[in-house]
Amino acid sequence: MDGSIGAPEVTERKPHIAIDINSLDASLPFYSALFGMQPDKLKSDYARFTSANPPVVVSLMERDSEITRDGHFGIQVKSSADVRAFYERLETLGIDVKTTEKEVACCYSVQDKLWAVDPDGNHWEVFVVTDKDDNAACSSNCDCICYDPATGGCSWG
Amino acid sequence: MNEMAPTSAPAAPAQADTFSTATRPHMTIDISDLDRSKAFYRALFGLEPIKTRDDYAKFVSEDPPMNLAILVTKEDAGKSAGHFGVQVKSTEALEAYRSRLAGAGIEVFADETEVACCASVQNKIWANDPDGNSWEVFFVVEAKPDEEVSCGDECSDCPCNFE
Repeated sequence: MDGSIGAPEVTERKPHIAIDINSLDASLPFYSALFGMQPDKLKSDYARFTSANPPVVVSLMERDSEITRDGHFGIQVKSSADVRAFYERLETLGIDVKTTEKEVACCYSVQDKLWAVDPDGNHWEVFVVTDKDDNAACSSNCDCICYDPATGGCSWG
Repeated sequence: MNEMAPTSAPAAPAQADTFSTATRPHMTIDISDLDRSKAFYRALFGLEPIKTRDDYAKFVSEDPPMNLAILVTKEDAGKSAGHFGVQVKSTEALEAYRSRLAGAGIEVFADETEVACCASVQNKIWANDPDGNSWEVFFVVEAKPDEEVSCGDECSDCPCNFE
């Protein structure tokens, strides 16, 4: 699996994201593809991806209850080529990339990006900020954050 | 994917985002009130947002490497599924977070010492943002990769056992 996007990093602190999911089996392929690694800890109801690049600890916690979601998650990279490398890895591993965008003005900056959705509907973007200042707000259109709280999101499943 | 083919360099390279790690995680958290949430995240990370708009603020941090946005979406944004956190490497670093949060008037729900949780032993604190999103700051004292210590509500779902 291609883990060569950028170089490993060592930091004193790492962000942590714990995401509720309904099925570990359904979610493992998505997150393995997204982070380019297998989980470093795997239990019957829990998986952990300790990623060096990006530096983050992502945990998946299996729940029987209905999964709610708000907001979204992402990986910020430094070039359009990096976005494309993620795209190719995801597609190669059978993960459906919902859309790609070029120079979209969104959330007060201009970005190139892709969007993919985990099996429970959690939205992930991989993006490069090409211009850090723009007046465009975070619209809920599918050309920006792709998530409308009023309707529960775009039409992506 | 052709639209992603390399073209020209950014028109104004000086305006591109710069950061020290090769890549960094991003989170956008839905909130209902920008001012009260800014106060929480300012205290949690000990820094000012680098960008603030009417409905939006962005906090970037080199350590932990992170691009965190908060976005006003509705009057009652509610709590996201799961939780968020910062992993540190010592009890002293954990204490610094606890002191900063307490100093800013943020309620710290628990000082947990050597709690067995998610197949490891951790020291940790929990705080909730104004919409109920749970944040933990934790130090893994002992990894126990072979033990089946699950992530029960008592260890992964603040503040269910503290209120």
